[in-house]
Amino acid sequence: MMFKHKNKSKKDEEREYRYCSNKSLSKSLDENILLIKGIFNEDDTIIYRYFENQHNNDVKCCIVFVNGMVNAEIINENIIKPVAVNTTLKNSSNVLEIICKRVILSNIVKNSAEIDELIDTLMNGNTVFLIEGVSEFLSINSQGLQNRAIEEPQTEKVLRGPREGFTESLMINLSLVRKKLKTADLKFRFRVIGDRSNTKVCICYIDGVANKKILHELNDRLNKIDIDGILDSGYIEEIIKDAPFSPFKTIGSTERPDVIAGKLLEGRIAILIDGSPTALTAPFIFIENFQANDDYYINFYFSSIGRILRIFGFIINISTPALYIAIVTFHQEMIPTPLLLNISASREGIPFPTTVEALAMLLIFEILRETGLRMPTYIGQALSIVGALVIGQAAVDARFISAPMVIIVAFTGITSLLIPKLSGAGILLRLLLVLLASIVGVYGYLIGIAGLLAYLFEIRSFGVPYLYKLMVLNPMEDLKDTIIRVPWWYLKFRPKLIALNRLRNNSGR
Amino acid sequence: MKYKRKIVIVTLLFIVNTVVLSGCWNYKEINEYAIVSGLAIDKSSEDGSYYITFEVIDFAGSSKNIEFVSDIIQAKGKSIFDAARNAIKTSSKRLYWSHANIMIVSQEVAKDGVVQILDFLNRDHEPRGRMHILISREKTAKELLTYQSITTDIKAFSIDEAIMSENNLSKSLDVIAIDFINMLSEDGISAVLPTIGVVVSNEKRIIELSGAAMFSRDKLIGLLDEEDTKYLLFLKDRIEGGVITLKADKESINDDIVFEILNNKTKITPVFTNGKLSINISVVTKVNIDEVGVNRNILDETSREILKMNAENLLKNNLERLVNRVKKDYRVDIFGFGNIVKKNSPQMWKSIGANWSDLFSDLDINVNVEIELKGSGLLEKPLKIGD
Repeated sequence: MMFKHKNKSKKDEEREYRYCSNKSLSKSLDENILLIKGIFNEDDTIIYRYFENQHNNDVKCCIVFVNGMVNAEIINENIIKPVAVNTTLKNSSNVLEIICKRVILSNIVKNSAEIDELIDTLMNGNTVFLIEGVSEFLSINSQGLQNRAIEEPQTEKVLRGPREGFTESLMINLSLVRKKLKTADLKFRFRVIGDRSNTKVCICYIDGVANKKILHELNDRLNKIDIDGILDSGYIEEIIKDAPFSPFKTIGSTERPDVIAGKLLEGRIAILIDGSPTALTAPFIFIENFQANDDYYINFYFSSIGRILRIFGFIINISTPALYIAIVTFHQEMIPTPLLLNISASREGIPFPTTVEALAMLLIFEILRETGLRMPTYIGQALSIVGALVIGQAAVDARFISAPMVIIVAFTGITSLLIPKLSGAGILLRLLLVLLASIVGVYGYLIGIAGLLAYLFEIRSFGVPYLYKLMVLNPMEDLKDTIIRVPWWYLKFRPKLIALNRLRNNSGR
Repeated sequence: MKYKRKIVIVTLLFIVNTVVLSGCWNYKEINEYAIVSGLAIDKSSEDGSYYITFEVIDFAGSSKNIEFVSDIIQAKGKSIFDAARNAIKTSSKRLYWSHANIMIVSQEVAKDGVVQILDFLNRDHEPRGRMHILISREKTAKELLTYQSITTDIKAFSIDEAIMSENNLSKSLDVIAIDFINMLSEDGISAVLPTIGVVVSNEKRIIELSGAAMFSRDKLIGLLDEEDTKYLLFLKDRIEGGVITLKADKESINDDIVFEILNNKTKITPVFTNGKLSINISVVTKVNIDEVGVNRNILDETSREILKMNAENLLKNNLERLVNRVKKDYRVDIFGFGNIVKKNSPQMWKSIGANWSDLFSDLDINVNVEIELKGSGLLEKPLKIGD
């Protein structure tokens, strides 16, 4: 693991200093409010609302909440109003319990005396209820945060299948997953990560299906995270992933609840993070890069063809420029004569060597791609004109670049957009193979491919070999959901190394 | 730790050695080569040095509309390789041989032996074994690369195309360098090569691919005309098409019946009777009737039988005539009978192999031809000509 372990006691000390958590609530309301004001010094969003019971003004209360994070209606109607108008309230030692049980109209009310708990309550948009004479407080659910509507994720559109996507709210996301899997075996375990962001993270799995060892390993790794803030699931993915310097993903990510549900059913574990619409799944193996979610919703012939095309596309993506360079500059005898003549004719008068040409064109394509990603959408047309006309047509006409090279780069570009999950790895591998091929031809390309295979065989994701399911021991069973997708009635087993319980039907639950 | 370092060193050695030892070091841009499409080899009669004519592909026209044109480069040298290197003097680019697919050798060179040429073709890594080798019927080989082509401007390519489509004609052979070398090196078979000549048609000098050249060891000893070449192909079991023309009546001149060969199977079996070797040749040919020049029904039972018999006799006579002529006049086993004997009974070959050419010159052959009439095309009866 890449992150360092800090001294635990030192961290606690710092926390105590910051939050005065060594202090505790007293029986005096004013003192308690002062304590809270001390903690939230110079924070003007905290509202302190004093009020008393209309019939018995000994019952002095104060509610504290963060303005803007609460639902004012809940506070007015369900907290202030019932307490203020109640006729039976008396100032006794168990008044808080009575208020909790009989007066306040709220679905979640917790009783606590911890300062940490109090801070959590406020920071999550809940309301703290304090009363004179009691050294405890009530934490009342009053969240009123604005959430984005549930929409179809922009990055993972499907032809067919559910169109819901995760939002930034963890609880809504969990409800979306729960909607798909209505079973008591579906477990959600919360934890908080990030010293300052205090981000809620939920580990989600199906009990009896998920592998306990992998779950244990995941918890271990999450425990070791020491970071001040988690703003997106990408932070966690990068910190806990296997092969940390690898360009290949060893933890999956998706914005779709149906994908999460599918992975959970296969015995994988999902990690959802408050504030991020992207959920993580582990373990993640190589073939998952090529699996799209609507593979499982549409006809199996069609989805199998799609998968084969994606795998083929990846190979083309990393190989085409390298093979072109190797064959054109080292192995001219391998090219059929008419093709050789055409390539030779189009290279006539080109000032750059083939390798330089390829590297320059690949660089230009990556720049175009990055520009397309960063620029405002309304200047998209300008980019396509520059890309297509200037770099394609004009560069060939001006004899800067040979026409076959434009075709090769265009082919590479298209295929790199085919598998977005591997585009980062694709750029690196392509460059590496181009360099190898320009030094020793096809031989260099083969060294590169052999090295890549050796590397892929070596890395693992949570103990599962990365090429699991592709290193075939039992072709009839292992290849069912890899290069092709067989019909559902043949998919009786879950992946052996990932799931605890292999059988997928009734008897295996 | 030490063990790990050892593994790393050994792995590195493997990688570095394979890079150094594999021949892939030659980074060369494709447009730095002059691509040779074909070559012709002649010999100077004075000092015996080789004249090589290369056809090199050049580009003409604008960048949008590139045309391939042929350039002729000539070089002289003491050997093939010497001449090839001398060609750089005039071509300015290095000649690239890997895409050359035609080599035409003049009869003069062939008569002196082709071993030196073949050795270079085999030894050098650039020329391909797929290269077609032909013998020029004209005085020099060079003039065959300077004829006027009908289809493409690149002469070697149109010769190559002619060889490829020759299958439907069966009047010439298709011999590539590897085949030729095998024929030369194997026992009991003498090499043959196709021949190529020039004819004048419509005021253009164009090539004509026909006939074959026979070799005794590596030296040219005689030529066969196109009809003989067809029967040679029958005996070598390499007929894939072509026609058999039969006179319908003995006295008629024009009224031919023409068969299209669909498929042919020739089986050659050596037979030993009383220690004497004879060769049984059985030819089974499937044909279609393609043209009928007579105005009478030829498809009834009896006419068919007669037709079949006439065709069989024609084929049989011609095959026998060819074998007899070759064994009498040239004494070279271009049919590969000896090779078949060797394969069938290697023990026997050990005793007779040494003087095979003597044995071949008075070898008995029995030809047995069977023609199967498969159909008569779209017409059942001959066209009826009214008054």
